[in-house]
Amino acid sequence: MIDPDKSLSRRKALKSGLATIVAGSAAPMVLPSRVLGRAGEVGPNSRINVGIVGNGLISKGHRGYCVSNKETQVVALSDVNQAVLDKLVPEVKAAEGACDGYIDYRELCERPDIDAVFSTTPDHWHAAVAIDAMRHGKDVYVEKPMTLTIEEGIAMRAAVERYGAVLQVGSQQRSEWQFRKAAELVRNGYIGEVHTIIARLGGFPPPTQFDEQPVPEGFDYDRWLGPAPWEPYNIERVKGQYSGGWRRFWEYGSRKNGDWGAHHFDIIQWALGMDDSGPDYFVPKGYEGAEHQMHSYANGPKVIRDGDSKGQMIRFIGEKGEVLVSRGGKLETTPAELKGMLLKPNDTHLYKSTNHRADWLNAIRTRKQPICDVEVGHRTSTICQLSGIAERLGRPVKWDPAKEQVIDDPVAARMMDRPRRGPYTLPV
Amino acid sequence: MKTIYAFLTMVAVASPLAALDQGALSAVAQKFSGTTADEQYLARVELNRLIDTASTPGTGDRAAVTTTLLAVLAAADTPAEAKKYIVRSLANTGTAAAVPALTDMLNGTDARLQEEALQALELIPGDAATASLAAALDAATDGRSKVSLANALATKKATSAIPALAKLVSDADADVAQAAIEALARIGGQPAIDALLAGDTASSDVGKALLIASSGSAEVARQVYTAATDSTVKAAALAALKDSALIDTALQSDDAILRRTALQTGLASGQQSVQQLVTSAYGDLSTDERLLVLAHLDLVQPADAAAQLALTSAAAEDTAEKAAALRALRSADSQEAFAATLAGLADRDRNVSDAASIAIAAMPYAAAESELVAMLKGDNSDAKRNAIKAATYRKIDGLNAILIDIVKGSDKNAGKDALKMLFTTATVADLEAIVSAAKASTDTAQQKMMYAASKKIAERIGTDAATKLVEGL
Repeated sequence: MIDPDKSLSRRKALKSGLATIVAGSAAPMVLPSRVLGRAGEVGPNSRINVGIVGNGLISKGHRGYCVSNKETQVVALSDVNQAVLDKLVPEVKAAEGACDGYIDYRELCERPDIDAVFSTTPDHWHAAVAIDAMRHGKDVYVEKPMTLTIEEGIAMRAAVERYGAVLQVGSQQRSEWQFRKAAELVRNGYIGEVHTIIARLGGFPPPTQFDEQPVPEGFDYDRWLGPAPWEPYNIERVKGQYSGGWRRFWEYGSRKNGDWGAHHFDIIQWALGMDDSGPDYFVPKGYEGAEHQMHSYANGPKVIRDGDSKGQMIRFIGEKGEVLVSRGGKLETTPAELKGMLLKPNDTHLYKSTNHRADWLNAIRTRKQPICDVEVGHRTSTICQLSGIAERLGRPVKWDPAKEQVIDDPVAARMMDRPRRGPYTLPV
Repeated sequence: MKTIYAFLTMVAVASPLAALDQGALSAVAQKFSGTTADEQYLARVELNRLIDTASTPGTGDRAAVTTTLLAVLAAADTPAEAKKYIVRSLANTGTAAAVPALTDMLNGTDARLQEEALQALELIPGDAATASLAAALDAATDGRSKVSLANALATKKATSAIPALAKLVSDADADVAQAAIEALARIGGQPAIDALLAGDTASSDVGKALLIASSGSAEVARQVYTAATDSTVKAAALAALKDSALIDTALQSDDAILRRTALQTGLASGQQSVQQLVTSAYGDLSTDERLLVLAHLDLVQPADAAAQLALTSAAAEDTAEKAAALRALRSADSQEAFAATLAGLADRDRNVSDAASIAIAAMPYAAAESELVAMLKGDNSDAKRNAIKAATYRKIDGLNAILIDIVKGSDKNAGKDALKMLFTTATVADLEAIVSAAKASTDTAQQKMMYAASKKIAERIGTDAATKLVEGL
């Protein structure tokens, strides 16, 4: 019926190893301590075997970190571009001793020897890769924004709980001291009630159409598109580029809201103590003359995109002062002494992480969720997506963060998810 | 590109609220034919704007919008590219009235339009859309189509499709079987559960699907636990069951995933045997198991037993364990805990010292400041230097004066550390004291160090008074 030329690759059915389950009779009240602490089991200092799915721009840092880290070993890469695998697999193999390459990420996720997976594809693939990894017992590091749609976020949350996975979202600003300090100052009321926050996102070129080009040899374009609607191939559509590339298209990302927005909205959520909730009203730029895109929280604060941030990435404006913060260790406060101020013991001390990847690896060992867990990632992604929905519809969107529902707009409500082009469905 | 930006601005500012005019829509549709990529993009923007405006809640009429879209779709002269985007719009905007036309496309010969139509039917609510997809699944012959349709029916939670999906659970095509199993999982409910139970319950896909379809029902979870051979599935079933006998048995397993889940589930449910094991035989647990306990220390009872476990791990060799223990001590209120965190602060491992700093900053231990002052004023150099570090995280009254005394003292290493702290905290009055002490110093090296530090402090303070103090040094 639908283009049978694109045949599905048959996945190898791998059965995980079976541990013999001792069929006990009556359960003893007191368990002998020898039942735990087995000799020969995975030792405390054994390496975490890592697979990386999506080996474009952002993956380079992760790959380099894991190859050079004594706690990890990169054992497999997956990419839809054979040329990428041809280049990178030998490099990793030379450094690690062994490495396999896969076009189909599912084969990587099925490997029983892999403990953890990076999902570093374009946004429209994040959820499928992450969930598939989790359902095969892997822990996951997924790049931001965590998902392309709100329903994907809900599905990811369910998967983390169902499979007991440790999941880190790549919102690495939370692991930078100045963003934590800024959030702590705001959270503890040191600038009074915050009424306005300005986030500098910038913009992308428009998501234009491009003339069709031949698909390069060895590039599985159909798989690259995956669940996204079919569009003719053009290098401009697929290239990884911080100033545009696939990021400029609604089909694969949330444009700047999902790009810088995913970072800055995340810090704002943290500072406002909204990691389990979010804003309830989204207004696109241009609506009834609005100069800037805006979203607001029920308890008051408004977040303005690209207003006057005084040259910094995020500017918190409170009744008693301001906090301005950027990457590169930049933190300014009004009053100035807030910057060096120590928190009191009974202040809220936010989770401290000094290295985002190390925090994830540590969480894998401790089985305690890392700094940017699935709920954090989902709530931040939701803001990115609702901002995008409002922009695309050209009208405000009202949102119930408790029920996670769009209010009074059936069209916007349908946009909480997107249909997925077969056979690239979202696993459960 | 400038034209595109100008057009976007115009459209954004000037769009009136209006019904969807068929003539206007047709005119835009024509712009998809024989035009450049830029022109097609602008046409797409205009198309979306027309449709979205006419669909605005309160002022728009989606039924009327659907009728107009269908009319343009049916027109012989509507370009194929325009049809594609119109069908995509129907996915978000369309009503059940669009189903017949979309069904025709689904069953047609244009592969791209088939895909678009299927996706639109996936999102359009109502029985008609579901029936269309179910009929297509019955008729489908290739794997890709079956997977797409199974997925779409799952999105619609189509219980009417369960029989058709059940037939595919054991399909020879592994991807089709997987899609059918996952579809049943997503649809859920007893008929879906029954369909899955009729399949290979030992298979990990079926096991997972059963847990999802049954929303973790204990009865189903027990069946899955018994049949499953995959650790992840078994562990998920165990977590759903929360059966203490099975937990105790799983703790005897060689399977690390299963044991981990058993430990976690047992702690979470307050299972007495697990509590007792953890508190009485903590040292016999593996490092990874102690890490798991530390991650869930709030579940260990009683609280002082939990604190004791953290203190035990704070002295561990494994740095991850030590760090986890120190983080757990952040709410402790004892001299022992405070001493452990101070020791952690001096650890070379960054993870450990970071964890210790968190604990020191947050610890409600009332004697923390007085103990730190005693260490700062004492004779033990290592303790003094560690206390300077700790003072970064606790507010100590009169700290700067104490630090200046250390600078003036004979412990050069502690003096350097104290100056580093004073770089960021010294006031003009402190600067005056440091300069005065430097001038009085008979130790040339010490004097040089204090002069250099004074200049940096003056630069940081930045006032005329500060600058004057260091002139000529």
